[in-house]
Amino acid sequence: MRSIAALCGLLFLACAIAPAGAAANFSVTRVSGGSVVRQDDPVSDLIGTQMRISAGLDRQSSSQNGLAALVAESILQTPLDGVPLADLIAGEGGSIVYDVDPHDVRFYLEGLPASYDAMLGQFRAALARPDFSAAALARARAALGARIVRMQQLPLTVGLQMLNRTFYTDSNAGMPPLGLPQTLAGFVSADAQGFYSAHYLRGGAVVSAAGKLSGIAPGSLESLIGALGPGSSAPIKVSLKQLPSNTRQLIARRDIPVPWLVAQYKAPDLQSRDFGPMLVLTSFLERTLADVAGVPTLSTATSGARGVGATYNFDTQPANVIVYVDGGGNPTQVFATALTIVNVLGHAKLAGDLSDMKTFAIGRFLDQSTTLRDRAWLAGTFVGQRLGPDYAAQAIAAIQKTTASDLQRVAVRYLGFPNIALVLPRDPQQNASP
Amino acid sequence: MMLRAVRGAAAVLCLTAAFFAPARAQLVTAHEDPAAATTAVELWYRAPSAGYDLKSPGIARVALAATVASKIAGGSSLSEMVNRLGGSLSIQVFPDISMVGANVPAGSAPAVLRAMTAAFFNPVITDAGMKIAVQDSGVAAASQLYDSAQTLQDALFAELFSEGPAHYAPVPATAQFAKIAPADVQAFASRAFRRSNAILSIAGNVSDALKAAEPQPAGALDAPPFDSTPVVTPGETSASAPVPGMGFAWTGPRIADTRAATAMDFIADYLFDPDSGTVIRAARSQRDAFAGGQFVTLHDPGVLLVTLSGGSAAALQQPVLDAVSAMAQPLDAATFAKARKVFLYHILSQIQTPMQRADDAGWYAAEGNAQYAPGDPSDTYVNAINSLDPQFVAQVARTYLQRPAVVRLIQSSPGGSTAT
Repeated sequence: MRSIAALCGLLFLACAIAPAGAAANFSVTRVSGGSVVRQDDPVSDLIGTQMRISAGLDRQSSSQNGLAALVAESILQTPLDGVPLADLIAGEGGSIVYDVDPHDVRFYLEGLPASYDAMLGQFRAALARPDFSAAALARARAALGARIVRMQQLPLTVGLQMLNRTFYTDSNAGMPPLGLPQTLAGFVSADAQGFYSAHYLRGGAVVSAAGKLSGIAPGSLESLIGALGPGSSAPIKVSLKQLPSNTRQLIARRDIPVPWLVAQYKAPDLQSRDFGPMLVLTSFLERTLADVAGVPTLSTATSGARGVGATYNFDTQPANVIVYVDGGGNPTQVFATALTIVNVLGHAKLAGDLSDMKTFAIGRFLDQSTTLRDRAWLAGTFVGQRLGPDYAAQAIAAIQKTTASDLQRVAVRYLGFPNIALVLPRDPQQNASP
Repeated sequence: MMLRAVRGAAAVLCLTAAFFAPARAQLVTAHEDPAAATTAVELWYRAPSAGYDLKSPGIARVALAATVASKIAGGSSLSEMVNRLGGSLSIQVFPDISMVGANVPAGSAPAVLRAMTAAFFNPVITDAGMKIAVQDSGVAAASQLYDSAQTLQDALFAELFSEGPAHYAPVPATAQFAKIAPADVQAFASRAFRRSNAILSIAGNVSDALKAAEPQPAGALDAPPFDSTPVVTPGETSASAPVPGMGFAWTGPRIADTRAATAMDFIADYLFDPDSGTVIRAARSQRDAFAGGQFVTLHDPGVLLVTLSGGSAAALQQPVLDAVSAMAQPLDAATFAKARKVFLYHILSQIQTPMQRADDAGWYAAEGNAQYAPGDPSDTYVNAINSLDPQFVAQVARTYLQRPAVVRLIQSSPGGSTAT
C-alpha cells in the first residue's frame, strides 16, 4: 500500500519547522462563575475584548426564533446620554459587534487604549440596563432586518443555516442566528426582558481581552461579568426529528449566480483526543479541495473569497466540520472526489511521514489567528471549554502528536455520512420569496 | 493611505548594519511583536508595472508571478514552499511599485526569507514558471473584470495622468499577458528585483534566527520612486464594463507633505469609511448602488479616488460631489474632534496583523517616506493626525478638491455590445 504521503502527492519540506515562538502573556481569573482571560500584547495599538454569554440559540424556545439576536441588538441600540451604545463607542474611537451562536452570544468590543476604559464602562452600563422599549426594539428589528437580507445573499451561510437546523436535535441551537423578519415582528418588550433576565447570567460567561492591556484599569474587565445577574441558565430541551438516512439532502434557492454544495459532518470536541487529528484532516481536505476545484492562483485567497474549503467548528458542542464547494464547475463531481479521498484515508493502510500534513495544519491554524478578534475568540473558546488559554500551544501540540492511525480512526469515525445542503440559483420564472 | 487594501502601516525600524550577518544592501524595515505566532516577510520594489519603457503593460505582474512560481535551484518554488507551510502568499502590483509577501509560522520565517531573497535577488525564470505566471495573471485579470471599483480606479488613473506608470493598468486584459516575451520578463525581473532596489519589510515574531538571515541594510535604494505626469485639466471619459458605474479622481499632496496628505486621508475616512463614512451611510438607502473612496498616498502626487457602482450609481453622483465640495468649509469643532478620533481608530485597526504591518511599512518606504507609515516608532503619522484642525482640513480641500477626472462605466451586454 502506498504511504499517505505518496498518496497525497505531498513533498516533504526540507526546512526545520519551529512553529511558534510566540511569547503571549496569558492570565485567567475566575469571577462569580465566569472567567476573565487576558492576552497582553504590549506592542499592539488597540485592545479587543470578546464577551461570551450563555444566551445563544439553544436558550430559545420554539416560539422564540430570533429573540436571542433581538436582545443582543437591543443592547447595541441602548441609548446612553441619548446616543445608542454602538454610536457612542464609534465616537470614542472603537467598534462593537456581536454574533449569535448555537449556545452563546458573543460581543466584541475593540478600540483605542486611551478611551478603552470609557468604552468598557459604556458597554457595562448597557449590558446591565438594556433598553427594551418599543422604540429600541424597533431600531433593533430594523438593524437585524438589514443583516438578514445580507446573510441571505451568502450561499455558504444559507447552506450552513439549513444544515444546522437538522444538526442540533435536542435544542433550538440550529435556528437561524438572527431569526426571521416575521418572527422578530412579534416580540414585545416583555419577551426581550424575560429572555434577558433568564439568560444574561454570570455562569459560564467568559471575557477574553487581547492587545495593549496596560490601557485597562484593574477590575474593568471583571466588571463586565458583574453587570450580569447571578446564576446560570440551561438550554431549553426540545426533541427535533433527525433526517431519515435516505433524505440527507436539503435544497434552497437564492439569487446567486452558481450552485453551492455544503456538507456537514459531526466532529470531535475541543477536549477530545481526536481534536488534533481532525485539525490535520480538515486542513488536508481544504488543500485537496483547492487542488481539485479551486481557481488556481499563486496568491492565497482569503477565506471569504474561496469557492471551496473546509472549516472545523470546534467552538460549539457537538462540534462539526463543514465542507463547501461552489459551482464554478460541477460541485457534485468535486465533492465526490473529496469523499473518495476521505474514504481512502479511512480505509487504506496509512504509513509514512505525516510531517508535511502536520506542518500545513499548523500553518493554517496560525495564519487564521492573527487579528485581535481571532486571538480573543480563540483564548475565550479554549477557556470556555475548561482548557488553558494558550490556544496556539495546545493546538500545535495536538497536531504534533497525531499519528497515522489517529487519522484513520478519526476519518472512519466522523467523515462518513454528511448532511448535504444544495443552494441553487433561483429559477428566473420563480417568485422572489425565500 | 496605501492603495486598494488600505491596510494601514507598520512601524519602521531601520536596523543598523551591525545587527545583521554580513550580506548585501537594501533598505530593511521591521516591526517586532513577540506575542505574534507568525511572521510576515515581504519584498517591495520600485518598478513601473508597464515596464521601464512603458510599452509592456502587465510585465511587472507576470515577472512577479514567474519569479514566485519558478523553482529555486532545482528545489521548490517560493509559492510551493509557502503553500506547504500552510502560510499565505501575496503578490501585488501597483502602477509604480510591486511586492511579494508571505505570512508563515515564526519558526519557518528564516527559511522563507532565504528562499524569497534567493528567488528575487537573482531571478531565474523557468519555462514552467512563466507558464504558471501567464495563467495566474490571466486569472487575476478575469476576476478584475467584474470588479467595477478596480476598473474605475485603473480608468481614472489613465485619465488623470497623461504620462508615466500611473497611466497604465497594472493588471491589463488577459490577452495582453500572452504577448509578453519570456526574455523580456527575465530582463525586467533582473533589473526590477535587484538587491539595491529591494525593500525588505518584516513584521510579527522576529526571531534571532530570522535576524541572522536578514540581508544587511544600506539605508537607501539606488533609484527614486517613479512619478507620473498629471494632465493640466482633468477630463471626462467613458468605457464599457460588465457593471455600470462612475468614478472621480483628484490629484492631492505628495507623500512628503505629511500634514496635507493626512488631511486628505481624514477627508476620505470622514466621507467614505465603509462603516461610518457620511457618504456611505447616506448611500445605504440606495439599492443597487455602492460607493467607496480613499486617498492613495503616492510619492508625487497622491490621488483621492471615489468610485460608484451598480445600476443606481448615477443617483449618488450629485450627493457625492456635494459632500466633497462641502469639505471646503471647516467642520464644527465637536464634529471634527469626534471624526478625528474615529479616523485614528480606523488607521490603527488596519495594522493589526503581521501582514498588514509589513504591507504598509513596505508601501510607505517604496513611495519614499518610510517614517510616515502609521505605527512607525517616530509617530509621524499619529502626530500629523493630532496636528489637524478644521481650518487646515478645509484649506487642503479647497486647494486640491477642485475639478476631478471623471469616468463613466457603461454596462456592456453579455455578447459584448454596450447597452444604452
